[in-house]
Amino acid sequence: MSAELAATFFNVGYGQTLAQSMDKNQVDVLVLTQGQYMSILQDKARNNAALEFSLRKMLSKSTFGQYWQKEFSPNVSEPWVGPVAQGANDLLAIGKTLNAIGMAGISTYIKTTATGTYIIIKGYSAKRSSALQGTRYLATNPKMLQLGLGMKSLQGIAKGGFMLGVVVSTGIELMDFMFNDEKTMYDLVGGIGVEAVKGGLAGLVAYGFATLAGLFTTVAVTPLFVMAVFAVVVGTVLNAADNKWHIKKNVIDALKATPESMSQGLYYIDKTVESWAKEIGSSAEQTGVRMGKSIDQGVKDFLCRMTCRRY
Amino acid sequence: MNNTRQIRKALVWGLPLCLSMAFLFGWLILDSVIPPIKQMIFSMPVIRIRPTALLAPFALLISLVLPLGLVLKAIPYEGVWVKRLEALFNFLVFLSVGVLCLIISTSALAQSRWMPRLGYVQCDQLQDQPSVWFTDWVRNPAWCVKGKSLEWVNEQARTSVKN
Repeated sequence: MSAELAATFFNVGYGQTLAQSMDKNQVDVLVLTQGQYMSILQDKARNNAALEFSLRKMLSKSTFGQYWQKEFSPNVSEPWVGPVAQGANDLLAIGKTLNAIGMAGISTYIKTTATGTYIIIKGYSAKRSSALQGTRYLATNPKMLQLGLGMKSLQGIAKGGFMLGVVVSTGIELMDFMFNDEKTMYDLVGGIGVEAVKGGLAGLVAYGFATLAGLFTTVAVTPLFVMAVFAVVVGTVLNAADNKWHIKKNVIDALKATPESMSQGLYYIDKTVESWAKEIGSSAEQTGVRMGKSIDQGVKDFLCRMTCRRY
Repeated sequence: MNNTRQIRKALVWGLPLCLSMAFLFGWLILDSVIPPIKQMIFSMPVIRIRPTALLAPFALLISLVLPLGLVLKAIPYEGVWVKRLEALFNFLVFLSVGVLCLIISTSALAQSRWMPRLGYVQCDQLQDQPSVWFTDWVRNPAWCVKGKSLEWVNEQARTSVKN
């Protein structure tokens, strides 16, 4: 047998061995996009604590994670972040309003007449924005609603401020959860819940004070200023109270303790609870109405002692 | 008359709101305005600075002047004191907006300039961080330990002094 023939046989034999080997080691290859791969990983991590921990570790070590931990997170406590987040919407409205009425129009006032509530613009009209050349506008005028003049416009600004505050505080909680591998889902849920309540309360109290300011003073810009200041200062008070009494920590601890404190097994839902809840609800409502009436009567009596002008 | 009726209705919830918030602002002054100043004077190991707490005295005055003026208007008392209170109220509100703008623009620079000169180092690791509301400063960088409370830092300082 010539060397050439031997080589041919060898090649054929090698080819057959290779084909058999390939037949035995067949694998399926699935080509996924990045989004599909991440969703599968996410799904797997839901029931696999070790995988979730590894993923969190990887995220915290990523470039963005390192940036968050070393650059952004330390600077989050810079004094301009909190006030800007809580009062940015108000400050923007203040800027827009002052720009429109001009500094000479700072004494613009609100006048209530039998035909409606008017905003009387003060100052020389040439110094004002060209869009605001009149001297008297109804409080419900769309131009006034865009500015922070009059109580109607403050409602929109208050809602915007609350939303912005919640978005910023939730964003910080979320980023901290994503890039800090020591944070758990309980920290995230508890943190967002407490921050949203704080933001809501601060916005509500600020709006309440702005309403009272609108009743007390005729200067049109004062309620807007009151709302901006109180949104920030009430946010500060609530945060200080949270730190002092560890409200957020207690909420998170309670969330963590809930699954552990429940024993395993089947639970029977007691339907009578619904009727109890209804009873409690209606009695609370009645008590509220009774209290409201008694406070109202008390205030009337108190005011009547000074000057008896019933209304 | 229409305004008087509105004021009387608003006082039902406004009076408790103003007084309860005045109480909270008073507490904030005692908790977050006076202590940092004292801590700076006595060079304490750790200082938590809440710059926006400086608005608390103004907010306290506003929350006291506002219900007083509203009660007078609800009587209705049209005398000179209502006008004086209104002027005082407007002045306080304008002043507090000015202070707010000043805090936002200068407090970060002031802190980063003066606190290191007083021997403090910024710490973003202590309990309740990260937060947008305050900045922690410690005298010794070794006391800046993740998740530890302000009491822990003070305890460390006491221990190091004893040793």
